[in-house]
Amino acid sequence: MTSLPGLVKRSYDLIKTIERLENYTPMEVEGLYRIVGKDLGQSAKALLDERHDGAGLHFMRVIARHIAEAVEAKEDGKKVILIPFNFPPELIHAFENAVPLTTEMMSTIGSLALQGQGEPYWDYAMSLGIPDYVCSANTTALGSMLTAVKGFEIAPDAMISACPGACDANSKIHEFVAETLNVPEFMLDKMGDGVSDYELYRKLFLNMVKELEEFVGEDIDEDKIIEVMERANECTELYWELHELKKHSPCPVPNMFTLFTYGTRFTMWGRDEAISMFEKLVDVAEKRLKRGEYPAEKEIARSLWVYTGYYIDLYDLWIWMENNGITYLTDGLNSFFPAQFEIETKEDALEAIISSAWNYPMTRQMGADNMGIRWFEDLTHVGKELNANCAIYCGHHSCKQTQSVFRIFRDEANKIGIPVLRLDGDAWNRRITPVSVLQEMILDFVQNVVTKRRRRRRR
Amino acid sequence: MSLSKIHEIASTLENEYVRKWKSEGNAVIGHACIAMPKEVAEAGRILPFRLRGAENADTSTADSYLSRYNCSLCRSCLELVLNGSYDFLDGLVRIRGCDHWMGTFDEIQHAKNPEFMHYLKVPHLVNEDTLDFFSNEIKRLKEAFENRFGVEITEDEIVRYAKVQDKINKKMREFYRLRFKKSRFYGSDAIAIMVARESLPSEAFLPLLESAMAEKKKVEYRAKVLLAGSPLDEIELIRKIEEMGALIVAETTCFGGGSFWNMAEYDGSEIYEFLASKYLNNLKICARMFGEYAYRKNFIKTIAEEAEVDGVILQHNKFCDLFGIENAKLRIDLEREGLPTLVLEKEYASTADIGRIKTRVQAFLERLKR
Repeated sequence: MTSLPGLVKRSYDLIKTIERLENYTPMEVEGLYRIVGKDLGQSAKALLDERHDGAGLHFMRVIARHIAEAVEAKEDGKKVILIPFNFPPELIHAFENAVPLTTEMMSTIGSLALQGQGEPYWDYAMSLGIPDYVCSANTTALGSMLTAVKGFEIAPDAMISACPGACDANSKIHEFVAETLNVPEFMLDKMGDGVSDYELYRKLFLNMVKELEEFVGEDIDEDKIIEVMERANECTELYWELHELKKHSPCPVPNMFTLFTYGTRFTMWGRDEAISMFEKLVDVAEKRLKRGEYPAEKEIARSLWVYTGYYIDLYDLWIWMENNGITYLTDGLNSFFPAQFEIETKEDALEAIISSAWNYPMTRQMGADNMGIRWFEDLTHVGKELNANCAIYCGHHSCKQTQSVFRIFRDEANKIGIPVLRLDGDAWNRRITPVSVLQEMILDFVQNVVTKRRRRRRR
Repeated sequence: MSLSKIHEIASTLENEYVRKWKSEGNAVIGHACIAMPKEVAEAGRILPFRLRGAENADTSTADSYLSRYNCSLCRSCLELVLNGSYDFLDGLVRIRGCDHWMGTFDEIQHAKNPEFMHYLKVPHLVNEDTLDFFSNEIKRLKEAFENRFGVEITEDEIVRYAKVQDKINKKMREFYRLRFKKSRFYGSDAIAIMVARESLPSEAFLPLLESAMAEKKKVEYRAKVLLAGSPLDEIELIRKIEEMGALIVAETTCFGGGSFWNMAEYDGSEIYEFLASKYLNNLKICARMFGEYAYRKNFIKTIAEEAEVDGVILQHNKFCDLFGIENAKLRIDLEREGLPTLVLEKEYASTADIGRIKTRVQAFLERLKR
């Protein structure tokens, strides 16, 4: 990587083009595919697929706004605060002079929107001696951030680390970048599930807010944060509406809506863009329900992805599954259990945000007293609600926490009759396991385990 | 003689002192981190025994619980728990040292469901709030011991054992300084001493240490090296490295100087507040403490300067995120500051790894022109 612009800069240029897309037909999408090449083409085909009825383009616009605000903030003298996915962006949206940029969403955009995916940035991180088993969700985007010292990427002004206690790799790679770029890092710590654990988390969070206010040079305005939280409440309501729609079989909510949901949650929650995104998702799903639409002849598997999905080829995984009757109901990242809050003061708003952060995916499960049990309980709760008949673990090889307690998850799931498939691959790096192998394993599992169980049950 | 006794202790798990301790009706609890406040346990006649892999490379059963993507030291320890090698323990204190250890304890609970497993919550940050939290956690640990083992743990007794720990830490610093200039000991001896310390009652360890320090060995070497990085209890690995001529004269690891060099001495203050500050501040030597990178780098540099080393070996087990990332940063920074550095990634106790490691060390020595 000699002089390649950074991931955020490249995504910004690309996304400006996508934003200009208006009405399109399948033929135009096919044409686009041919122009942009396979890496972006597969994503474009998936995002712009007819079944999404424009929701994919809407999602790209939401993400485009997120990236554009970060890039443009630098020109406007605002602060760019790099946040991990398990930190509520609504806190940063409450500032006038700061904008959030979410690390893992940038890695995901790298995988799905850039020629060569996130590989050049991953390779750059490796060239510095960072081990290849560190999480690609962080390292891809942060590898790019490291090139900011050479001017190839926009540099964050500060970073937030919400992962101590929930993920060592995430916390550590963020620390590496903060040290290298010499930018301040504000940190939280999650110890367990108890009252005193919450009290410590809350104190650290409130201290962090004070430090951020000082750093940004602005006290969060009470009216502004209340407005943000009112919009967050609207998003919550729509999130649960979509969740209810997923209970129907065949599922009227397309597979990719799960990605659209948390992609929006991790970037724009508390903003009008998020509300309109969720309205669109609910609207499309309701129409599909009325029309009884499902792309396959029948829904043969209702799969619960217990951790993340794969972002290396949206079309050949997410769309392919649905075309084969395999519904992707939801996943670990989407299990953030949003709640509505009564907000009258700034203090109420901060308490609500702290509660949301505490219940964020990964923070909630991997920061628990017992990771295996909490992970199992949370995900099977969702699985039961959505009437899942199987579970799939993507086996992201760098996730040492889930890898270490997968046995507990599988044993407990087996006890309640949910078969679990363990895949092995990197969700953000296609070099580890080819998509064809993942397809083969998923199909084998569905045909030989899930459908046979269904038949046995019917007899 | 004491040194050979120490090596004997370090090469076994349930040593003769542990057997005697238990035969007197006392309990032994396992833990896996230097954040464990030893004084609190010993004040209740409970021996804190640090889990180690005991150079066990067979992890076949443990691999069906943890995964191959988890640290091989943790897998090795889990294997020993599962095969009964740690059955002499009366319980466990789980500490979230890192994600791998947390998962290991979860799996121990899943597979063996020990009657006593207390979760001691150790923050990753040091500030007023976390110190206050940790102080309460230590009190909670004391209560858990009292309830489980039917003992009374008084503050006076804790203070008494804090002073014993101070004496040992002071003696360990003297021992390290003996190694710095013209060493009479090998690094493998030092690691054995550290392992023994983590496996013995304090009162039994101190005389052994004092007597070992009086022994003299003829030590030959080509270069003096500091060892840093993740927890390392592999005496055989150190021996192999030293056979190449790289004498380890100091370690900043937690089975080395990291466990005592910066440990505060009891100052007469409220005991739980003191212990929280003592252990949490000392833990800054571990990569699991965030926002303390500069502290760790300076610790390595300070010891390297005092011990007049020729270079630094930064080691970690494969899949260790914490030290894998930390060592990448340390290598860049220490090299920039003129300290030759070798990063060694390895699998725990793997004999298959030895040839590769020896080649890397040989190349490093040649780079040091020794």
